[in-house]
Order: sequence, then structure tokens, then C-alpha cells
Amino acid sequence: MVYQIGSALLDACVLSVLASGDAYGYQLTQQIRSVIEVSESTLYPVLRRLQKDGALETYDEPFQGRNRRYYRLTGKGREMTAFYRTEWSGFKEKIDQLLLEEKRYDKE
Amino acid sequence: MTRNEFLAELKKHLQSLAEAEQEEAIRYYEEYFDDAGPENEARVIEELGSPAELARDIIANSTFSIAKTSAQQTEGEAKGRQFKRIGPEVKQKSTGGKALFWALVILSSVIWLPLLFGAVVTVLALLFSVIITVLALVVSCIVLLVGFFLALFLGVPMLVSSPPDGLLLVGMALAYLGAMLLFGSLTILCFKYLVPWCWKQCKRFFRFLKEKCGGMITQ
Repeated sequence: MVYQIGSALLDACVLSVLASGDAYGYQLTQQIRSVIEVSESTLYPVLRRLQKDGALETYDEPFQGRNRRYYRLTGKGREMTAFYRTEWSGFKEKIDQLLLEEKRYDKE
Repeated sequence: MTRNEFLAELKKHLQSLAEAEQEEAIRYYEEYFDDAGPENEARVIEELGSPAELARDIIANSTFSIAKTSAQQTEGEAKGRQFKRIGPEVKQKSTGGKALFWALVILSSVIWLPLLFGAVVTVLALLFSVIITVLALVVSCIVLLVGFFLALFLGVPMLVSSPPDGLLLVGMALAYLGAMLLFGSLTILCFKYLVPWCWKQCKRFFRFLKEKCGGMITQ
């Protein structure tokens, strides 16, 4: 992929994936990797930071004799998700204007 | 490099972080390896890159939080690079800074502890006085109502047997009723405006305290 995913966009991706259901680290990474290219190492710092910001919380669920740590959105996390989503639609529209709508500039 | 070597190496590079923070990171990657399964171990290790690099990312993110302003959000990639550059400096500052911060907190407690105590006590005292006032109003309403009925029941039959006493008692009953209506409307006003207002202000005050203290501690 030529385009880079910045940290804000990565935050938005993590939050949005978690908005559709709680997930553990590996699962979340695979879910995001199934759509965009991110390295396996990228997500832990993001998750930790979001957790510190109070957007995420964790809980442990036993699985095959060990614990899996699940991440879940908090109320603040939901607010942030909504915020990032509106920001994204605005941003996407603007970039679309520049990249896809050639005729707009021909007339002016 | 095996999984255990990788984790040991990572732990070594995370030394500058708080113990809990180190454990959290190691735990995450341990779990990550478990979930990936032994067959993917080599691929995951290769993907994760060097433990030193990974540790630097973790450290940078543990002290650096993305400001949620829209202006900064668009600089995502620039910031991604910044992380790596400021990483090592930030970590040194944070360990020294934290100790200094707590030392200052303890030393200055002579000043802020009484101030905090005074503020909390003042708010509680104000709250208490409001509660007492409202309670007094309610109690006087009840007493006046009881007095009204008592004087009425005693006074009306007396109008016949002893008109002056009867008139006095009925008059008293009406005076009680008037006072009761006055206090009653005051009480209703209190419940409608004063009590919710006090409740809101108190909640605001304690939320303010919590935010200030919480914010300082997590910094």
C-alpha cells in the first residue's frame, strides 16, 4: 500500500473494530490485518495508549488453561469512536474531492 | 531467535519502564505467541522485528499520548516518525520526573493538605446546613398542620360552650394554617430549586477534585 496509516487513523481503526465486539490482542491484530497492512508489533502500543487514555478497558477470560486478555470500549471510547467516524467522513470527502472529481477544477 | 529469547530480550529493553508496565507488555506478547500458535512462532518473531525497536515503540507510546485535536490528527505519519526520535529522551525524563513529582507532592503536602481539607469541610458544612434548613422546614410544616387540626377540633365545639375560647382556638387554627402554607411553599421551592442545585454543585466539586488528583497521578 502506498498510503501510510498515521497514529490517529490507527486509533480510529482499533476503536471501530472494538465497537463491533470485544477482542483479544491476536484476534484484533488479525482483524485489522485482514483489511490493511499493519505490522504485528504496531497494535500493542496503540492498545496500551488507548487504555491509558481511558478509551479501553481489559478483562481476562480463561481459555485452554490460560487467560486471554480482552479489550472492550468504555463510554469514552465510544465517544471517541463516534468522533473519529465523523472526522473520517469529512476527511474522506475532501480527499475524494481532490483525487476523484477532476471536473470541478476544469470549470473554475 | 526463539519465542523465549525474544521475550527475554524485549524485557531487557523495557527496563526503564515501571514494573507493572513491563509486565503488561510481556504478558501481551506472551499471549500473542500463544494465540498465534507454535506453527506461526517464527513468522511472528520475524514480523515483530527487533526487540529493541519494539521496546522503543512501547516506551514512546507509554509516555506520549496523542492529543485529540483535529489539527494534530492529520499529522499522523509525521508523528509516527517523531515517536522514534523522542523515545529515548522521553523515557529518561519520565523516570526522573516522576520521582521529583512525588517528592514535591509530599513536601508541599504541608500546604495543600490543610487547604484541601478546608475546602472539603466547607463544602460538606454548606451541604449539611442546607439539609438542616430543609429538614427544619419540613418538620415545622408537619407541626403546624397538626396544630391546625388540633385547634380546629377543640375550638369548633367550644364555639357553642364557650364562644370566646372557641373563637380564640379557631383563630389560632387559621394562623397555623397560614403559617403552614407559607412554610409549605418555601419547602416546595427548596425541593424544586435549592436541593437539585446543591446536589449538582457538590457533584461538580468532587468530580473536579477527582479529575485534578487523578490527572496528576497518571501523568
